[in-house]
Amino acid sequence: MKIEITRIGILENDLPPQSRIEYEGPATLGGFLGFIADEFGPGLIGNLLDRDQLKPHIVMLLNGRSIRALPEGLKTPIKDGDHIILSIMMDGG
Amino acid sequence: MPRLKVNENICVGCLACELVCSFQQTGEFNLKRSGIRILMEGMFPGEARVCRQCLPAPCMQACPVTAIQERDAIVELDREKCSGCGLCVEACPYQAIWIDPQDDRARKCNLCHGSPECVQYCPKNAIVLEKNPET
Amino acid sequence: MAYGYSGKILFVDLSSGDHQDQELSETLIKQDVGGRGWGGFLLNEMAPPGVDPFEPPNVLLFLTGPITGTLAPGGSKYVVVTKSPVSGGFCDSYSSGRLALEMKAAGYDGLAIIGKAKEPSILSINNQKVEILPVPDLWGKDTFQTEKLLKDKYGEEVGVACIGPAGENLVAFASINSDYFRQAARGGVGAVMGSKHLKAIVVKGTGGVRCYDGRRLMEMVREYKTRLGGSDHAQRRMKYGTPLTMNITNSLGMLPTRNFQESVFPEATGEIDGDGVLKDVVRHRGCIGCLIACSKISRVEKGEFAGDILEGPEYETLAMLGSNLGVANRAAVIRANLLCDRLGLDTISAGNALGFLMECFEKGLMRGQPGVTRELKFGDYRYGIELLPQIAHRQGIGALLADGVRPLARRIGAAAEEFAMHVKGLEFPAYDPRAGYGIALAYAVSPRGACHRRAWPPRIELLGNLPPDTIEGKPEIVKRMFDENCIFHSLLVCDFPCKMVPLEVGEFEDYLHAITGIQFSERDLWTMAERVETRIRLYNLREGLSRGDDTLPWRVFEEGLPGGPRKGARISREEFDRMLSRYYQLRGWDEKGVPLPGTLQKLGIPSS
Repeated sequence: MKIEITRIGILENDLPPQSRIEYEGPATLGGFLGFIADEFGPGLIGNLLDRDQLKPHIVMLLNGRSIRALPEGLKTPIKDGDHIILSIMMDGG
Repeated sequence: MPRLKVNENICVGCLACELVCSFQQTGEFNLKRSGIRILMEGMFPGEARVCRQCLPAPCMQACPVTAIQERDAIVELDREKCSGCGLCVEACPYQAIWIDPQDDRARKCNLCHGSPECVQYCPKNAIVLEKNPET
Repeated sequence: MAYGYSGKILFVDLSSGDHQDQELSETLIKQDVGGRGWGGFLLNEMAPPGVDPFEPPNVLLFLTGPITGTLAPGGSKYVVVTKSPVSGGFCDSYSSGRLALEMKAAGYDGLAIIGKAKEPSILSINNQKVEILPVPDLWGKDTFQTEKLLKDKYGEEVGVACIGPAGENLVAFASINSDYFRQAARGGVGAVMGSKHLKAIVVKGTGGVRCYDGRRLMEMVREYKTRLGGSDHAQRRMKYGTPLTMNITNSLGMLPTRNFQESVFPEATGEIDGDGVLKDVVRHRGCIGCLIACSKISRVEKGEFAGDILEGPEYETLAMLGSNLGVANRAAVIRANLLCDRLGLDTISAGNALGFLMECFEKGLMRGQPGVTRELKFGDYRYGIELLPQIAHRQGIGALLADGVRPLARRIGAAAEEFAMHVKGLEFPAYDPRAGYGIALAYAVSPRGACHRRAWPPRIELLGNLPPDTIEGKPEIVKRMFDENCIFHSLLVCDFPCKMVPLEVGEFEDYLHAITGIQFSERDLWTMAERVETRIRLYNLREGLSRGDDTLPWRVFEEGLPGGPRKGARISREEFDRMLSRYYQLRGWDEKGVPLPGTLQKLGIPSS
């Protein structure tokens, strides 16, 4: 499946601000995150995840919705054409 | 003889060093009682001024009451002896010694007698303790 | 008052030339702590009910807090509090600047200025020596020239706050500037200063801030610095500064675009967003005493604006003078930013007003307006830039914009009022409130008007665990965020370090004790926030504001977002009303938003 990914404040050396990725792994947000980690360096997951939960300062959105507001969290299914945003938390400005 | 060196290109002009130094030397936060100063060049942070630990030290030579001596490889100012005449201020080629406006005596960097505090607090690690090339 | 606080407020009457030191009372310290808290109390006490903001009896307050001047995080800010000529109500406008430290060095926790000088003057404070000095040669000069001339005369180691031509001409969004590039920008505080014939304040002091337990304070700062260094979050936020916010708002579809007609601006990517801004950054910069140092110095290398250099640009400016105007040209936004700084104009309101004018032209509403010969179109940054000095000098079409969007919309007529994006006359900053009910509520109930600095609901309802399109939980989080920021803005610290590192309110118990020797409990601080918000509410009610003013423009209720992830989103009036009522309830106010007697009693506010 093709996934649109926007990265904000992280992964600057690995991905352009917006790109489309061909993804074949488990069709969940967690699966996709694992794929990103494998593709772009094993250390990466440590920066984004904390015991299988997103670190408090990391934000992940699926089609504009924060995964923290999705009941299945990282187990939420994804499909072809979905848009994922990976970002650091913002607060104030 | 060690001395402080500031990398002016990465200095962000936050003056944390001035606040730390004044606290270290006087017990209060006071930008006018610091032994290190970051000057503004127009609208942006510019030159850093801090004692270069000169050898021989012009301030030492100018002082009429021998308040400035070299001790343990540091140019030490004895503030008790200082008469506040200001000749050291005139003599310093780097303008890195000032008259404290509260007690009217000279004040300058004393390297915190060994472990400079400003080095620890600078958010950009722009201040380093370096070996004085003059020694 | 040996520790932390300097212990005095300086009262100045520009009309008579009299000035007087007043001891900082125990009550002000214990009940209201500092900054915004004091503002809420003193404005009510000093400004006569119904006073015209431009008349001499209006008070212009410059306030610090107990943290100010120490190395505790975020301690170089001051707040200007006054009755706003825009909303007719309470206005608190924050800035960083050496002024904050020099005030304390001179022995003052705050300045309270009333009256009007007979001729353009400066207020000069040198330790205990207070003078009101006429400065006919400075009137008319821009803020950069003014500050430079004052520093030539008084030395570099002084605090300066000054106005530019905009303040002199009572422009509704005139700012008060410090250290060249910092402003207390919103709500027309610069205009109030101009109405007092006060061109600048220059403060110099030889005192310092002495702490009760300085050693403990430095221990905490060291620990904080270590935490900061180990915070991946803080390091990334510091790298980009506020411009990264645009990446978020654009991706989430809440970025003001073409006067809030749209909410996604694809051209922004890599140009005026976090990644774009870094391209022009030559150096990083920080406020005095702050270890975060999140601001940037940008220099334009090529093109028609080559050579421009400033501290900035920040998110709000990039959005309101960029995407909001259909402009993705970073150098043009930088030029506009510089002009606003020099002229003494709030970039947020200036951008909002220009965007409003652009839409008026687009809809053909400017035909028939006298003196209007040239159309201002979205994307036309050149003409927009030309208009900024015209606004500051009330010339040409600039004169139409100089009082802000609300009066102009009224003048133009019904259709224009639908898309004049303001609350209580204060122009929207750079978040489209249709994106979430929390943001909508925050904009509507902010005492000074549409404001993003009291609460930042996107953290919870767009980036966190609540959905944006419902009202459940929103009054609670808005109240909580308001109260938290009220605490920070009374201490008076910048809330950015607090959010990045992070620093909790509870930690400020320790900072306060180390600095002042006074034991404020965390509970005291949260109660203080509730007290301050209710006090400010009482003031606004006294000045004629009501529930009817806690509302939003027609566009927000009636036009759904045309695109982006929140496509179709708008705010339902019924849901909004329910949410507002719930907010009032949480505050202990009645259905009209009037504080209940029980609330006043609980918070220790005397009922009048």
